[in-house]
Amino acid sequence: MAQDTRVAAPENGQPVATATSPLCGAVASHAAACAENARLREALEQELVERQRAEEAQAKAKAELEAARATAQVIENMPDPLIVLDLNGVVISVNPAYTRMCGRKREETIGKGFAEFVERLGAEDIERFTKLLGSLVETGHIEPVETVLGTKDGSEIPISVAYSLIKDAEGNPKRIVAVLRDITQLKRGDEALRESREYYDRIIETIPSSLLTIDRQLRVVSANRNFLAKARRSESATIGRRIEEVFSPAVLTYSKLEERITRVFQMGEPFSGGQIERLPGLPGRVYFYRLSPLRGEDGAVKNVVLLMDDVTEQKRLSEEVRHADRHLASVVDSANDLVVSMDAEGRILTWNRAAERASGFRSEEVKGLHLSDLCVDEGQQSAEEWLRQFAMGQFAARSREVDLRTKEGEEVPISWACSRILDDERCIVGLVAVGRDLTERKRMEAQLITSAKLTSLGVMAGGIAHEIRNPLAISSAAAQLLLERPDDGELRREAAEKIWSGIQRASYIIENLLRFARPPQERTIAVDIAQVVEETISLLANQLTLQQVEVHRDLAAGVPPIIGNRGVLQQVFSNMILNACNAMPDGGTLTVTTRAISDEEVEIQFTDTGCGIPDEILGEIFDPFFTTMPVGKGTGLGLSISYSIIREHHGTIDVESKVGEGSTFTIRLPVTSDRKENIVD
Amino acid sequence: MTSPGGPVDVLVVDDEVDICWALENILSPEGYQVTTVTNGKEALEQAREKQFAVVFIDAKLPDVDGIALSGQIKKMDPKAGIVMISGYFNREDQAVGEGLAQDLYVAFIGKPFDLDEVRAAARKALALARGER
Repeated sequence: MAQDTRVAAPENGQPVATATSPLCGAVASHAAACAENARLREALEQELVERQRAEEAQAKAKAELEAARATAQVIENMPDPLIVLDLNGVVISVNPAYTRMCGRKREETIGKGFAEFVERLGAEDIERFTKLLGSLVETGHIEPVETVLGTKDGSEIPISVAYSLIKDAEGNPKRIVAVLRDITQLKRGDEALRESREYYDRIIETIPSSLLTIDRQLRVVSANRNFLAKARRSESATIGRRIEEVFSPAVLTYSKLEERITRVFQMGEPFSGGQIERLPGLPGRVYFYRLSPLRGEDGAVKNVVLLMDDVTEQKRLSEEVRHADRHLASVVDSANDLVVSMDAEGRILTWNRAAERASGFRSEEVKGLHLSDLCVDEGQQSAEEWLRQFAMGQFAARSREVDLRTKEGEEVPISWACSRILDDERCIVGLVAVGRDLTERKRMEAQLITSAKLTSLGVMAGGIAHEIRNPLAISSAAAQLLLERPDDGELRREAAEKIWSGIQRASYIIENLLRFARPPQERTIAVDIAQVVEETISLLANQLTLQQVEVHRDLAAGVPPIIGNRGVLQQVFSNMILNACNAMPDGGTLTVTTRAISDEEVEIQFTDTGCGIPDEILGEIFDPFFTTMPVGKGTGLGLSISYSIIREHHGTIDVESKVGEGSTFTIRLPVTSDRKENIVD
Repeated sequence: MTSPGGPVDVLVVDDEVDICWALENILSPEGYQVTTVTNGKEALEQAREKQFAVVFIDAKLPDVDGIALSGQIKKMDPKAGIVMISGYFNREDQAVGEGLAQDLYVAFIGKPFDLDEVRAAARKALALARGER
C-alpha cells in the first residue's frame, strides 16, 4: 500500500511541472500573482499530499496494528508453545501453550533467562546456550535444538526448540522467537527403536549360526560373534575385508560363495543349500549356508546376508542313520524269515526278499494290501482279526500259524509272530510280522518223528519179541501136547483154548505194533484219549514188565473225545511211558491218569516213582537231542517231538519233578480245537 | 538117560500162567511132581520149604531177574538143576552163555520150544541134581 502511494506521487505532480513552463512571462504582476497562485497551489497540493500521506500512514498503522493483533492472536492460540526472547535470552513474552506446558504463569517466566527452564543450569549448559544464541544472532539461523524443559512440578519434558531471529526494519537483530515442540512421543519411539535394535543385535549375537552381511563389493559389513568364534578371526580382521581375505581359496572355490553372492545381488532372490566344507582354522567341519538379499529403503539390494549353520553333527548323524538304515535293510532282506511291515491299518509297507521267495509276489505287488489278503481263504478271517487286535493294542497271541497262498496258488505253511511298532509316545504306528516258512520244518519234523519212531521200535523190539514168543510158546506147546495125547479129552479142550487165546494175543500185539509203525495219518479225528492210553500201555506192557514197572491206570469215564491225530498221540504217550521206564531202572510205579478238567480240556498225567529230573536240566528236557541216556541209547528227540505234537494239537505239556521222588508229566489237550471245523467235512 | 524113577520135585517159575500149564502138562506124565509159581518171591518161598531137584525159571520175571534168581536158589541148594527158559533172550545171547559157563543153570530153552527139548532139559537137570554128570 505504501509503495502504491509512492508511485502515485510523481503522477500527481506532472501538471505542476507543466504549469511552470516559460510560455506566459509578459505581465510581471500577473506573473507575480501567478507565482503567488502557484505557491498557494503548491502549498495546497503539498498539504493535500501531506494529508493524504497522513491518512495513508494512519491506515497503514491501523493495518499494521490489525496485522499485529492477528499475529498476536495466532500466537496466543497456536498449539505449539512459543517464547519471545531478547538477544540475551531473557523471556519477553510467552504464549498460553507454553504456560500450559511448563506449568508456570506468564509472570513467572517473563524477565527470566530462558536457559533457566530449558537447561540444567550447569555452568557448561549456560555457556552452551549463550553460544547457541550467539551463533543465531551472527548467522541468522540455527538448526532446531533438542533439550528438556523443566516444568514447575519438577518433571522434565523432552522438547525440540526451533529458534528464529527477528530483525528490525534496518535489518538489525531485535528479538529471538523460540517455538517448542514436545517430542516425548518421538523420544519414546527412539527409545523403542534403540531397544529393539539392541534386542535384535543380541539375537544375532546369540543365535548358534554364523551370520555375515556382505556388500556389493563383496566386503564384510558385519559379522556376528558366532562367526568370529568359529572362524577364529578378530573383528578387525573381518569387518571391511573382502570375502577372499576371510575365507580360504579352497572354501571359496568349493562353496562358489562369490558367484552366488553376486547372483543374489543381481537377481534379488535368496539362495539356500550351499555347503561349506571347511572353514579356516577348523578343518573337518561342515556348514550349510544360505544367502538372503538385504534391501535398503529404496527396495534395492543393499547387502547380502550369509547365514551359516554348522551341520557337522547332523551330517554325521544322518550318515549314521543312513548307514544303519542300509544295514538294517540288508539284514531284513537277507533274513530267511519273511519280514512284513504294515502301517497301523494293517496295509503292507515292506515285504522282504524271503517273503517274495515264499509267496511269489514281488514287493510292489503287495504294497497297500492287507496281509490277510495273501492268506489261504480259510485263514483270512482269523489272520485279519488277529492283526486287528494287534493294531488296536489289544491282547493277542504273539504267534499264529496261517498258510499263505502263493502266486501259483500253492499253500505254504507259515508261522507268524507279530509285534507292534511304537513311536516315542508309545502310540502304535505300525506292525511287523515275521513269518517262518514251515514247509522245511514240517518235513524235518516228519523225519524226526520217523526217526524217533524207529528208535522206539528198537527199544520195543526186545519187549515185543518176548510178548509174541509167550503166546507162540503156549500155542506151540499146547499143539504138541494135543498131537501127543489126542485122546485126553480134558487136555484137548484146554489145549485148544490156549492155542486160540495165544494166537489172539499175538495178533493183538502185531496189530498194535503196526498201528504204531504206520505213518501218522494227516487227517485228524475224534480221539478217545483213554483208549489210546490203554493201547499204548498194552503195546509196552512187556517192556514195563521187563523193567519191573507196575502200571496204575486211573482212566476216568466219560472224558470227551479230543480232536487230533491218533497215531502221533500214541507216540507221545509211548514216549512218556518209555521215559518213565528209563527213570526207574530198578522198577517202580507208573500212574497214568486221564480226566476232563473242564468242559474244554482233557488232562493226561504220567507220574513215575523214578530218579526225578534235576532242576538245572528241567528247562532243557524238551530241547531236541537233549538226552541223559548213554550215547547210542537215546536220540534225545522223544520229548521235543512230543512237545511239538502236543503244540500242534493246541495243547500244553508240563513237567514237575523232584530228584529221588519222581516226575509228573502233564499233558492238557483242548476238547474243541481250532481245526474242528476242518475235520467235520 | 536119567528118568525120575521115584517122584521128583520140579518147580516152574513163570509169570505166564499158560506156560506153567504147558510145562506141568509136559512134565507130569514123565513122573515129575510139578509146582508152579509166577514170581521170584514165591519161588524163593517154595525153595525154602522144599528141595526141588529141577527148577525151570523164566529169565524175565516181574519182581526179579531170572538169572539172579537162579543164583539165589543155587546158593540155597547147590545141587538143584536149573533150566533157564526165555522168550526175551536168544540162545546165542551173551547173557545166556555166561550163565551156562557159571553153572547157574544147566540148560537154556528159548520160547517157543519143542516138548522133547523140555523133557531133555529136565532130565539133564535131574542128572546134575543126582550128581550123575
